Amino acid sequence: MSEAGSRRSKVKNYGEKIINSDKFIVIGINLRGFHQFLRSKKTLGLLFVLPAVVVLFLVFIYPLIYNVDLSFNQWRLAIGEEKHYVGLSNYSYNFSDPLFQKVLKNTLIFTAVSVPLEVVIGLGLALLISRKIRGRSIFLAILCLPMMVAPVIVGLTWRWLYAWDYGLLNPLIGVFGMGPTNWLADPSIAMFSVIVADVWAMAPFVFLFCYAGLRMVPQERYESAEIDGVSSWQKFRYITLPSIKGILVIAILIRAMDAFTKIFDVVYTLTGGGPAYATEVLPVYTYRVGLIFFRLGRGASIAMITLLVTIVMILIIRKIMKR
Amino acid sequence: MKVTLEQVTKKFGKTIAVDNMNLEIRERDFLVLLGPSGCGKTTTLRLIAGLETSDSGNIYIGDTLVNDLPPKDRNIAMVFQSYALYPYMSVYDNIAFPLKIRKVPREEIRKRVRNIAELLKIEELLSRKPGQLSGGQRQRVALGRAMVREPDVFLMDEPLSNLDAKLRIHMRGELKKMHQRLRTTTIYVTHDQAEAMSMATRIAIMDRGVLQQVGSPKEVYDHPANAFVGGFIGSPPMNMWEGDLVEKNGKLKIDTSFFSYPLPPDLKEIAASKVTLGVRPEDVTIDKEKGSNAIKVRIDVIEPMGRELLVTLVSGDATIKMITPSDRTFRIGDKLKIKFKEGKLHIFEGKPL
Repeated sequence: MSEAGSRRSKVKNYGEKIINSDKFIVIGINLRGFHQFLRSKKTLGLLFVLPAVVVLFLVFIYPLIYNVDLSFNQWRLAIGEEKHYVGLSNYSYNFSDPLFQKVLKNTLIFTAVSVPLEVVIGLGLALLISRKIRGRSIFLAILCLPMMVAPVIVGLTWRWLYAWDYGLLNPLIGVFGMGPTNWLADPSIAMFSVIVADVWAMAPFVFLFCYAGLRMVPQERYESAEIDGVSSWQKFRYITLPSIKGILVIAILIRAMDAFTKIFDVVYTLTGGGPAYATEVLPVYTYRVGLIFFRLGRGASIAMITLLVTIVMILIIRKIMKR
Repeated sequence: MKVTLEQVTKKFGKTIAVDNMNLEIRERDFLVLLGPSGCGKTTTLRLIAGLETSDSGNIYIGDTLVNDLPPKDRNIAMVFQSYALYPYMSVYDNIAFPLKIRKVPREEIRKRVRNIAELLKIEELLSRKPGQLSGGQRQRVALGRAMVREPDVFLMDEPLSNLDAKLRIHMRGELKKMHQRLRTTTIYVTHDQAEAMSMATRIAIMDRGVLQQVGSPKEVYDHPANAFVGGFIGSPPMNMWEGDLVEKNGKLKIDTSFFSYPLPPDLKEIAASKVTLGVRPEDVTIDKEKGSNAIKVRIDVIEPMGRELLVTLVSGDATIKMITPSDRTFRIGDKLKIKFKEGKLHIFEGKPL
């Protein structure tokens, strides 16, 4: 009776059976080990992350490290120069170069003006649309349209609008008795024109974020406040703004990073950085130095400075918004 | 402060949410608006709050006609089902908010918030955010925010429905204690009849926008005005059968398709001949006398409920629920004779629900 019982338990215990059989001993243990290795949460997690890490390394981390190295070297491809180490001289050259200073200033102005404008307009539109209005979905679709247009097309479209002789804008201001303006060729106005085009294209992005945020605010918060007797401004100040603050911060961060590091297409197609570098911004300048003049080392150092300034800017924005 | 509704009607598109409602909520009442979902009870509350405007009729708070007064000028406070706390403000700031908006001096705010916190036993939570509180604690904060303004009327929209069963029963008691202490007129919306019965000084039962009955919990339980009220209040619900009133040799009886039962003579004034007979399960008793007009039934289901048994009886196609002390032993299939307790029969005009 007891013998039969122990035999049964042997058959039941699958692992033991493998180990008892000489034939399978090695494979059995190995498989078990591998299985256990797979089953530990840590390894499984790492395995899932691995593909992303590989891709990230290839397209982001390796180029970044390579770029850091490049920025300490001089390598002018146009004259067939060998890459050679020059220390910090690329950086010191940049900071003493008036053109670089102008470009940095241009980019900061562009970011500091266009992002707040986009936030104010985007949030304002979201507040308007989130009210109970007729044809809300139509307004929504129209307001989102500019965002669906490729940045190059935005630039080209606005170039036509701004055109001195055949553009739409000059006849329009003519109606109000103003003379034709050279929107893109006048150095004192060109930056303003670029900012307007970018705000037109990008305010919808902030609008969409804010609109989604507003839709998520529970109605009872407003009703409760209404019973307490809040004014419209207090409603905005004490309920709307804090309720969507998280989403607003993300929208501002994304826009600030984009404005500072990625504003290329619109500027390139509208003015090409001109007139007289009045609208030259860091991304366009980096491209010009690195890939048109083929000064790879200097281009890399400009890209590095852009990255560092962006990081500082993000830290400052986060600190301000945390309050 | 009393609250009066005079012929108040509210429509949403084609649906009538509140239909020609007349209701007086007396000073210091704890009035519960009770009814199934979609009966118009929340709309009624929101009309009183001023969050909705009525299509016709008048609403008075005290002696003031408030039809055109915005919510903030009605001196009411409302507790919402979702509590409507501000998650980004501390408990202190949440409670202080109504006072801050009304520009009450800072020192005064501090004093009043402290008092309320003490009363609700949430002093140690004042610096926390709502997200760090349990459901019951959040409920108290919402209550605190309503109480801090010392309003004339409290409006509560299913404030306990987000709590678990045990906590709900506990908070019921707390709310009742609070009302007995503050004596502020309270209008409380719920679909839970047990909540209504245990807390209300008076209950107003609504169905499909129409007020069905107003009365003390005992009144609406013992004398339901119609079949809806009879069926809605009480758990397990009242037994109901459709039948004809028949008078024979001066004696009144009801004929249903399953049984016929004699009625006391005081029910004679009912004019309709098609009526509904309602009997609560606890008013069904076993008949031991021989030769009476008892109803013959068979036991179908026995559900022990601790102190009592809920027994489902069948007679033909009719089922009858009976509540009986659990000291008797029954077996499924047993045959019995039952009768209904005298004076506990309810006759309603028209069909059962």
